[in-house]
Amino acid sequence: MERLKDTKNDEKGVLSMIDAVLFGIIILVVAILVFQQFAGALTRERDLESSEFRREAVHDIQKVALDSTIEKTGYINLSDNQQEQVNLINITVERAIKDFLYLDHVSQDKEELSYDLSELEKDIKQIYKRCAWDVSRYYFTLKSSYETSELFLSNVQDIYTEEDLPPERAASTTSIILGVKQVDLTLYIWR
Amino acid sequence: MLRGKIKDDRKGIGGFFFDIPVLLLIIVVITVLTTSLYQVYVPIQEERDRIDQDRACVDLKNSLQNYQEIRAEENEKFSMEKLGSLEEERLESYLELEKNYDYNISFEILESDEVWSFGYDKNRVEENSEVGISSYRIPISLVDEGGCSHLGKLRVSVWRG
Repeated sequence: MERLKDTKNDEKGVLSMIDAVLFGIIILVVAILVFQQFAGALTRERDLESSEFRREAVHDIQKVALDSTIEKTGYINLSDNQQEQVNLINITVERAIKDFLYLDHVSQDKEELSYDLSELEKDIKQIYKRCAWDVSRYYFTLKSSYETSELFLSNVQDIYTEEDLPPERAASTTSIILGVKQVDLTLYIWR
Repeated sequence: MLRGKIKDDRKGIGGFFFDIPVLLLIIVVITVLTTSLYQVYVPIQEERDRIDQDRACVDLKNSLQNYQEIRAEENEKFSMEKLGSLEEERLESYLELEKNYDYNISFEILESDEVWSFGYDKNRVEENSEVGISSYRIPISLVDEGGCSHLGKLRVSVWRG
């Protein structure tokens, strides 16, 4: 009988072992869940911070780019079968964009008017490239439209519409006045 | 009665030895838990410090953009003349950066490589060596004495001193 009672003590020991293993498993599972929550919260905080920085940067880039001066640019007037070079000296990027949008619109609207605006477009893009990529290392896309004309510039190939832009981007929209109309100019940046 | 008490004593001795593997298991679990806690806590803390440092860097940039002493009078552009005469102590007292951070600020004209630099340990802030340094670069407009506008770069770097 006494030996049988001792055997019962052995079983108690095994039960304690199972308790300890269960304790260990529960503690580890809870710890892993807590760590995952911490890591998730930290990742969200980091993402939020990155998007805040991008928002700060896009406003700075847009403001400086629009105020920048293009020393010499121009376009070719191809109306009436002529080829007249029109030079624009020391104009701001904002003015260059307005000229581009207006001339592009009238050349589409009136058959007798035609302009080659590639130089103007190239110089606008060059200023944005210097501000966004050369200084801040951001890829950019600039988008604006006026009546029938559209300006869409990017330093990344294969981006033709807003749908091609990556989701983790920041945007800044500035309104400029062209004639009597308000024109929105949107700059997107991303890394 | 006595026999009954002796039986209890044996149980106690037997129970203690049976508990040793259980105690060992608990010690192992707690050790693993503590080690993994430490392994997770250190990178999380480093990341939090990094985020705080990045924020300090952006705050510093915003303070500079609002500092009228280096702005041209007629517009919001930075004045090259005022940057040239700006005293380091004056800028430092204006910025009031937290004491555990050091900083370096440089204003640079893109087309001429002319640079105005302020702050500490300038040699540490090199391009492509930004380990432990938060750096923020934005384009700026600078105006010379003749009123001509130049495209430039403002770089603000912050690190733990």
